[in-house]
Amino acid sequence: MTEPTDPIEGFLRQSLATETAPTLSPNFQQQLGARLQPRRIRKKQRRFLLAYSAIGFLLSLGTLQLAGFSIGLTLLCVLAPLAIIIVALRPHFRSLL
Amino acid sequence: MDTDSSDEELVVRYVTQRDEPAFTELVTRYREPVFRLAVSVLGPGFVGEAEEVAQEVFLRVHASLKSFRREAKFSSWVYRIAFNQALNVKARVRYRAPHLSYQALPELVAPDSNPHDTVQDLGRNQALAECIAQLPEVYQSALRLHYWLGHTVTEIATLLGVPENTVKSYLHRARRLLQALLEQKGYSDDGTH
Repeated sequence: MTEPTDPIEGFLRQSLATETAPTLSPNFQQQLGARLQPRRIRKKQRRFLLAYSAIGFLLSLGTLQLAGFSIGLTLLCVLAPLAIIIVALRPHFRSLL
Repeated sequence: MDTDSSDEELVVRYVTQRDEPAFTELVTRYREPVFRLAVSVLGPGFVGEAEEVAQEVFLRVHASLKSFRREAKFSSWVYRIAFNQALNVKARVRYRAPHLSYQALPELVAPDSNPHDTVQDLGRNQALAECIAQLPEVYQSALRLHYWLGHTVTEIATLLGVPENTVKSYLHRARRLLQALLEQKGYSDDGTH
């Protein structure tokens, strides 16, 4: 005995079948491969970033000292945000080195 | 290409020896089903987004293979990531109209089609698409996998990580809900207005 066909089944098949079945683009794997490559920065860029950070650090220290902050408070104001950034971005640091 | 090794053997090889071809083989095995699962969640208008989901899934798998607990099947783990990732993307693109695939254009402007029938079909298909969008996510996915992408109940069960009887029940309940929603829109259960 055959199971009676649900009328909505026919409608679904007819309606959804008009949509072309999608296919993956042929360069899917290449695109993925490119995204999986670790991004490394060049030596020159690394030097620039380090110099920029050092100047920023020294300028902040100098400015806060001139503003009359004690050395302890100055270090706290500069190092605490830096520590937060380092902890938050730690997973990304490997690609910077 | 290593087609003989099991998924779990490939995972172990990648984790312990950093064997890139093992990961490539896993991507080759799962890229198509992951993409199909994603497109079943997102719907026909979001094929590009589904491909992006598939890319994200493999990036995530690559990043967290070390934490993969081997008591679960690799395929179940990948499909769960894909389903959740597709749901996240769907929440972002929900209010954007789907774009019409260039592949669908010839069907719309087929020279031998009757314009009246074409308009009626489009209206009917639009009503059906709206009704499907109101169903629970897992019902939508099961319906699209079965009626659009032609997957069997067994295949859908694997993709959704549920028993086959559950898939049958999803499909049955989805059809009943659709029937009720279509009736509210003035269509009979065979799609006639």
